[in-house]
Amino acid sequence: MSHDPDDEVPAGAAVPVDMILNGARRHADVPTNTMLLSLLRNEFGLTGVRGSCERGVCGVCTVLLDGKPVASCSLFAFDVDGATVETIEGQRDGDALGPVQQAFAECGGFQCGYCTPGMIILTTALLRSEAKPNRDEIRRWIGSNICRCTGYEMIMESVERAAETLAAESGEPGEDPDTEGEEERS
Amino acid sequence: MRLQSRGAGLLTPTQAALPPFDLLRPTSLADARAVLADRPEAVIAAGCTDLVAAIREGLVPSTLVSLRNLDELRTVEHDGTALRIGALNTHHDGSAHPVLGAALPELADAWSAIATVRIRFRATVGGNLMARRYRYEMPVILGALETAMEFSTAAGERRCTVDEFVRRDPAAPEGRTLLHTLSVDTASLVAFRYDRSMRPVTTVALAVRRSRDGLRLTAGVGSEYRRAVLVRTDVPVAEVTAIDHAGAAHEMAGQLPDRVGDYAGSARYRRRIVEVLLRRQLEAAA
Amino acid sequence: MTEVVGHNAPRRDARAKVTGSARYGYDVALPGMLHAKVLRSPHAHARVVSIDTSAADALDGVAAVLTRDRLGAMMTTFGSLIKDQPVVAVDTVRYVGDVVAAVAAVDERTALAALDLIDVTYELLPTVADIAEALAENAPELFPEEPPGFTPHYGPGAHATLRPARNVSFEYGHTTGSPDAWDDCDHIFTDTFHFPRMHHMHLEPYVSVSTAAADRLEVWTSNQMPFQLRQELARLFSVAESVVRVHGEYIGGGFGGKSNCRTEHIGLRLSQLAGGRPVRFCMTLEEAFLTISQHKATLTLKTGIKADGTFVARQSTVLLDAGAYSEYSPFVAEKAGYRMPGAYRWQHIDTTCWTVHTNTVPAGAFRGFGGTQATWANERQLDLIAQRLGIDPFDLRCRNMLDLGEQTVPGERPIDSDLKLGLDLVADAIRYHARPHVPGRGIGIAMACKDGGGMNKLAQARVKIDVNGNVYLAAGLTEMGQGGHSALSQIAADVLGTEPARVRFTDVDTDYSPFDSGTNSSSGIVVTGRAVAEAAERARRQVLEFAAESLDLPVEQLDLRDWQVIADGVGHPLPPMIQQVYGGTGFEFSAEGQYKAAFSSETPFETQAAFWEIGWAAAEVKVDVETGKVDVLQLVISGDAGKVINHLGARGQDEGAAVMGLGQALFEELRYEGTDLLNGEALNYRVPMADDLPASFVSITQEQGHGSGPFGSKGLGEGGMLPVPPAIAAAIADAVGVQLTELPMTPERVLDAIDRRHVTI
Ligand SMILES: Cc1cc2nc3c(=O)[nH]c(=O)nc-3n(C[C@H](O)[C@H](O)[C@H](O)COP(=O)(O)OP(=O)(O)OC[C@H]3O[C@@H](n4cnc5c(N)ncnc54)[C@H](O)[C@@H]3O)c2cc1C
Ligand code: FES
Ligand code: FES
Repeated sequence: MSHDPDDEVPAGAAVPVDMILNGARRHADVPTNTMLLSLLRNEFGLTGVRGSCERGVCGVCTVLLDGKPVASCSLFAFDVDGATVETIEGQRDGDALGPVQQAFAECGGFQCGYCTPGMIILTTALLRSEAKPNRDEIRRWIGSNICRCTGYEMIMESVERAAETLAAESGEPGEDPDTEGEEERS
Repeated sequence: MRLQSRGAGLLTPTQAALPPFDLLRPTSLADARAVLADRPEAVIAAGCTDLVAAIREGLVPSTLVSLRNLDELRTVEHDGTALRIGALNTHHDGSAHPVLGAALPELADAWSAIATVRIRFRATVGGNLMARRYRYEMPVILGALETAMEFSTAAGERRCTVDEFVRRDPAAPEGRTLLHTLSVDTASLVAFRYDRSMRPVTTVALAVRRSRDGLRLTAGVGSEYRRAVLVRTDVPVAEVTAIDHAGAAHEMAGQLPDRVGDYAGSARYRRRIVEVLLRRQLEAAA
Repeated sequence: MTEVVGHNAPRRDARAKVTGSARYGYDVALPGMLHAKVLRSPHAHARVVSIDTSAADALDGVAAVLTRDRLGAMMTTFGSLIKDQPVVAVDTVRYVGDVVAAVAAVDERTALAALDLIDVTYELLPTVADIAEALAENAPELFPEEPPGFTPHYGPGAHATLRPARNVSFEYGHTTGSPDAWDDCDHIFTDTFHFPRMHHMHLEPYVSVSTAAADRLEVWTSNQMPFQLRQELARLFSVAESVVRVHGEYIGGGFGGKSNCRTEHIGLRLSQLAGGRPVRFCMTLEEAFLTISQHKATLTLKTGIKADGTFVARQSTVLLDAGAYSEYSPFVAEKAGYRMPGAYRWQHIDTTCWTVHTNTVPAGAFRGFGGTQATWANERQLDLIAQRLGIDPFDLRCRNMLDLGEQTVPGERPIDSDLKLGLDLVADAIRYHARPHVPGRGIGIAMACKDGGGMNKLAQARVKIDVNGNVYLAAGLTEMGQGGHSALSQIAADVLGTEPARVRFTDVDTDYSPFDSGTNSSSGIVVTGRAVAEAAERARRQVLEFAAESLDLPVEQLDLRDWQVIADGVGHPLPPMIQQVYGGTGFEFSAEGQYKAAFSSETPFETQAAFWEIGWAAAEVKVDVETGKVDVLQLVISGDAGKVINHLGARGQDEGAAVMGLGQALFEELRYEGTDLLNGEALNYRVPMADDLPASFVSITQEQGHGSGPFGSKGLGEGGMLPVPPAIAAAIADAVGVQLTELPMTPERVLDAIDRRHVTI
């Protein structure tokens, strides 16, 4: 049995990619070798997503793929076809900072700021899956990305502050811990 | 980093330097098998968490076969005697799978402890084994469980144990072969433990199985710079509580060859702490 | 008057950084930009016999190929005091990773493809892997011919020598007091300590964009030292410094690494060869590992003391592994040597520090700058001596520590922190004196002292104020995460009685920014801060003098607040007053300030330290005596900010530094097997992650108020790192009675030490 040639994209051709990027429908035709990091930066001008190790370790390039934090340097752009992608640029609430951004700004959860977009994205995913994470949970999630500047403590305090803000905003003591919140932030 | 093509130096490929490749996205295992038979040069892509590192080390795929659409490789099944784990299960989904939790909770625990939250959403168990990186843990965990790796090739199905694969035993298929399932015999399994508290210096997995004459202990030992090693011992008792814990641990650790020594720990040191960790695992299992 | 200073307000760069919109060197792009890549030596030591680039030159898309034959009028080598590092290999490669050739092409893929086409023949030379091999008799010589270099002029007691021995490029020596002091000693102890090296691992890579025209060499870069870079680039290209223009972007972490030429010199030469097109040269992380590191060191301390524990005399021999090239090593040698006395009182000090060359990655500036190595040996030997004499290490420290106001060496700035106060603070926080004796658990303390503010550092600043009271603060300090721009803006705002939000910190640009000798040595607050304070004071004075004339009041009766001049409790808005005199087309007040520690012929470096940076630490550990594994349960660290300018910034600096120290204590190191780097890659090189933090990690920022910076402030950022490894070592000693002398304190080393303890008992 031979395989269906329709599934094949030759090296010279482009792959159509449709996605929901920061809440808006987007389309791009990408060469097969395009990484999501480069698509976001070079095609969509989302330069808050930066690279460092370019092999999945540092987490500077973290974005949300269908609500899950992933390294955009370690994902081919063709793989996000049909998916929802959120970057640091999607965190803002109009001109205002989003609640997680606000918490990082107020608690000083950054120094050079190079890891910060990734850390904010991680935090967003954590707080959607667990509205009131404890210290160990925060440590485990923040333990996904490297920050060479802060020593992490003030980042973890920023996460706690963001959790408090979000809880206060929603007027609830916190969501059921095991609902995998994938809904958009209102 | 890779050696320059004429050996004149070191070069560091970047992602921007990767040329376009032919992309194939089969939608069934049969389709994938056919695609791979057609294109022996093809590189398989699962979660890509390791593939990207390989590309940065100089791998230049001319053809890439993405397994993303093969949902049939994302299953976990248990028929009471054998646990079958699809190769495409991510660390996150696989370890949280209710079937695994019911059939072999110790494996679920071990699996849920590896890597980081972010990586766990993408990294697959198949990729962890197929990447053949010494520091990855699945060869240790699944090695100790004497897991069978099931491959689909143009010539038909192939099967070998994780240990055979790690040792590049002739029983293991050569080249780029599609791994579809990992199968663990649960019928004879009495206990399983995994200890990564000393990682990256050393990790230790221990499986205790019922054998004809008593119990058989199989331990996997991992480290940073050396491939995983399996050691075994048989004890003529029926219960874990009846094992001479210290003796069995000593016997197994003593089998570790000198080559387990590396920058992060000498062979002497490794034998010594593996003995300690195994003894503790046996005590905990008892 | 401190209204703004000391607030807990978000930093001025907060918004840019939490939204991702901050522009780093990584983000700079110019139209028509080319991309550079380099070919690096596969050999640790080899003669470069021939290089053939003809195939690379001919490849489509290649704009420039740089090898030793294409340096043109460019100088071949760069460095600091000793210029021994080739821009691209000339005769010899001296470590795996040494740059052999560079290409600029339309994209990175083409650049790499071109590099693949270059033929190089090497003739292998014998290698030198470490300090011991380098100093061995008959060791192969890395620099058979002496590279250009010079020694600085020093004050009393200090000296330097070039090439004091084979494979040693620089010696710094320092003596005070009389060697007769040895005669007063009741005990003399000699111990040797080993210190590994770390990589900086800043997350933003080394990256720059360069353009070269006949009369303008311009770079946009993440470099901590724009003015020093300008100077070195001007020298390399034999042009006036005014030809070179360096734009300082936001820096994604530096820790000392982003000093000196990293990518800029190669980028500029490639741009010249490519007819002036912009060239971006962005290294990968793996290349950063092959570019610069911290100094590995072997330190031997001979210490003479009285029977009661009083320190008398100390002779130190410090051997720094400088790697293949001198880089900033001579300066690190000065500081490592100078910091050997620690925070203690001595009658006689005799220090020698050598920079030893090996065929490994060059070592350069790294947070702590020699102080980390010195502190490890110092604090460890103190603990060893305490154990030998049966004195509590806390008491031995108290007996010998310098008092507030006491000079470290004659002529030096007196110590400007109460060391006992800080030590009590961390000891009490961890309940050192009340610690229970639980087997396998222990508590230790340590402290560190380093001269801060850079050597002879000069900083200038300019403050402009427009008609509406908007402030433009210009200074040459770069923002690499330390919060320097925020703190300096707060200082200016405070002096001018305005909100920090009204202060714009203008972009760092060597054409326009006032001079600053570099963003290093925790110097921002004290040195640049004083220049800023002076500029702001002068601007304020100008405003008040102007108002005094307009209002016809004596200037002494006027105050400035919220851009109003306050006289007798009545506010007079400035804009109408200014417009009345200067019309509606605008006006700016403008004033400058400068600071440099005064020249002093009395001190070894001919200038006093700008301040003393002190770090205190206490740690509690649990040691598994069967495996040697150490768990840090608690870590308490403290620094003295003198006066806090920004709480968030101050705390973050101390904590970040402490966690680097934690990594170095337990696991982080560059691993070499011979001359091969084993772990020069992101996953294999282990840095501390959030889950490596102790369950309890507390930092205490003290404000003792004795600093020489504005409002009594002092610098921070390095002191928090230094005492962490020795505090953990002391805790291990308390837990299991073994004294480690080598970092990192891996489980195997700990277990070996426990074994030896059983043998000797
Ligand atoms: C930051 C970081 C931290 C990590 N920490 C850990 C850790 O703590 N412990 C640990 O064990 N691992 C760790 N890993 C490794 C990680 O688990 C592996 O990278 C991952 O499991 C690989 O799976 P993948 O699906 O991403 O594989 P891919 O990257 O897609 O593929 C890896 C290799 O396997 C081949 N391959 C993949 N699937 C198949 C298949 N079904 N059949 C045949 N060939 C296949 C590919 O061709 C490729 O050669 C870490 C990785 C990163 C980046
Ligand atoms: S750049 Fe993507 S993880 Fe480091
Ligand atoms: S703030 Fe610099 S890396 Fe995190």
